[in-house]
Amino acid sequence: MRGSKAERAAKSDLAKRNLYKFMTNRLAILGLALVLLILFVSLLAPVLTPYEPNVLDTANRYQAPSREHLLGTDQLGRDLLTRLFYGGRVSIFVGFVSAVVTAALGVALGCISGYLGKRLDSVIVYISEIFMAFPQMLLIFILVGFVGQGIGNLIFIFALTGWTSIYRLVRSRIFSLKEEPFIESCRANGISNASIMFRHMLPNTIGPVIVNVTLLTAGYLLQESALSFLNIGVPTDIPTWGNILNAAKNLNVIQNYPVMWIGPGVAISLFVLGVNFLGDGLRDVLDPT
Amino acid sequence: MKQDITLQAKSMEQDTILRVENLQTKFKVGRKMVHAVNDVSFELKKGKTLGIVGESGCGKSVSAHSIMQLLPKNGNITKGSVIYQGEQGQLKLHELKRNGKTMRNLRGKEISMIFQDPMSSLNPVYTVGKQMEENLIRHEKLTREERRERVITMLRELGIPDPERRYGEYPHQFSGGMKQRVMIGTAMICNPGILIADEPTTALDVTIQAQILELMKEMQKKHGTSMILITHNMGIVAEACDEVAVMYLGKVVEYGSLDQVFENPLHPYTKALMRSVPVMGMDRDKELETIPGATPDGSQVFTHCEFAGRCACAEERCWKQMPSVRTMEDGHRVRCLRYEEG
Repeated sequence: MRGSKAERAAKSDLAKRNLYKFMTNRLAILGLALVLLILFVSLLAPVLTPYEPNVLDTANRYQAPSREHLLGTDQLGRDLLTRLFYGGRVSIFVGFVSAVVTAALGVALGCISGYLGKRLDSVIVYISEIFMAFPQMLLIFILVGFVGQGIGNLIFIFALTGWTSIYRLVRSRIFSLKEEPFIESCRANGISNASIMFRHMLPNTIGPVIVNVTLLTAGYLLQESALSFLNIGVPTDIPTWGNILNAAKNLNVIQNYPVMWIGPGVAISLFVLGVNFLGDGLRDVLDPT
Repeated sequence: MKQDITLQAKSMEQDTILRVENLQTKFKVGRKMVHAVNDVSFELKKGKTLGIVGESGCGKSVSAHSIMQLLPKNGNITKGSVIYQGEQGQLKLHELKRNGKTMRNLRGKEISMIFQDPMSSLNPVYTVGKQMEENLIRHEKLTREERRERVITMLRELGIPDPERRYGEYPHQFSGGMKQRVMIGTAMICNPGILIADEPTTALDVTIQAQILELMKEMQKKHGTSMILITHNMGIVAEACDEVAVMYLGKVVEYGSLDQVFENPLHPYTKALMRSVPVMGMDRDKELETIPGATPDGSQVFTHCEFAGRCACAEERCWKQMPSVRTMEDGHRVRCLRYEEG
């Protein structure tokens, strides 16, 4: 692929056009900015705040916002802003990694099922239908009960319950791609099935998959927050946006210390909003149909 | 296994590269069996072009796909043989596993195929150069630079201007005619013995058709490739072929050299086909003749001549008897009752 200037020029031409299309989409840029800002802040948390997210300071519980604690402290005297920053790390990590694992599972099964077809396809379709027919939240509750709390377990559960949407998307794309003349032409050139599936068909489905990964990230982040709020998501000793919200289960907190739940609430909303804007912008560029 | 399929050349004449004998291909559609190809026989001579003509649905493409073992899963060769005379000896293609290694090694390397629709015959996500290289990667051991060199030489040979730049461009940056050139190049890059062109010019406009046809002839001359040209256009046959097989409903009804078939068409179907093509200098007030009716359903089983219902010279016996192939003294073959028993 690397080579003369001419090649690079031709390529950057296409890239430039797509980039331009993306850059002129204001919402997409806003989304990208939001996502990048939140990511940046989360990753640089140790530099940005002098506090530790888990160090208790019982002398300073329930403090109102002040110069030392910009958003005040929570019921155990931990700096809220610090916890928000650190919480973002885990929340976004869980959301994104779950989305990627889900997509990988869905794409692999979708390719195999769509291209090889026949009995294998019907078996996988049945399995996916079983997963879809079962209420997802309930399934998650049950699975959390079985495998226990933990970040890894949560990702596993999300991927296990969520792969069907991407699977269906990829499978139907592969079905229509299978009839494309260029696939027949691949076969006429002696290219093996595995290579046709993953090198020729997969790149043609990847646009919508990337879009879906962004949207899934937002979805999983919300789910993670909801589960953590219910105390069955990420273990409470790890700060996540959902775990911070957890404090708002107390009526006293809801009424008297709104910062404690507005903070993480706004963080979640902004991030999800940003990711969705970004996803829509990407959809316009990668999946114009 | 290899021993089994690699036989010593015996009955096959030296200059025949592909011999198809009594090929029969059936498709299972629901409960019905559709006979797409019933009885197809022909020989392809080295460096020559064989034209297969016929209406839509007469089994031209299925014959080609049968040779390449590229049939859909519900299609099977049920009878007959396809023998390829390669450099390593004879191969019985009809006995090979359809996606087995031997078959895949033949495809693109010894037997190549180009398709009707150039617009969607290239993968939109890869550059044209990369797709042309794919065959070389698969079939030949070359370095990256050698491959690039080969592809650029090929692009130049195809008459594509500025090949260095075009090498790195995507299919959407090519026009239809250019894409078909690229397809021809991709098929020819490993110097195959046989090129099967399945209606290569049907999707192109007339001026481009002529260019593509010219290019194919040129490439054939240069590389000594044998070609099977599938078309429904008699004009293209006259232009490019050395031998002609006229197909009707899965059977070759007339087979001979270009002169034999064009100067002296024997089968009523061939005659009708010829009459339905406009010719330079014909009476402009005269309406062009058509063949009445349509090709019958492939699942129908006939006990009499399949063409009888549409034939202008059908007699009573045409409705009772199945014609068999009769070979004339000059090797011209025809499947029609009128030429049987004198």
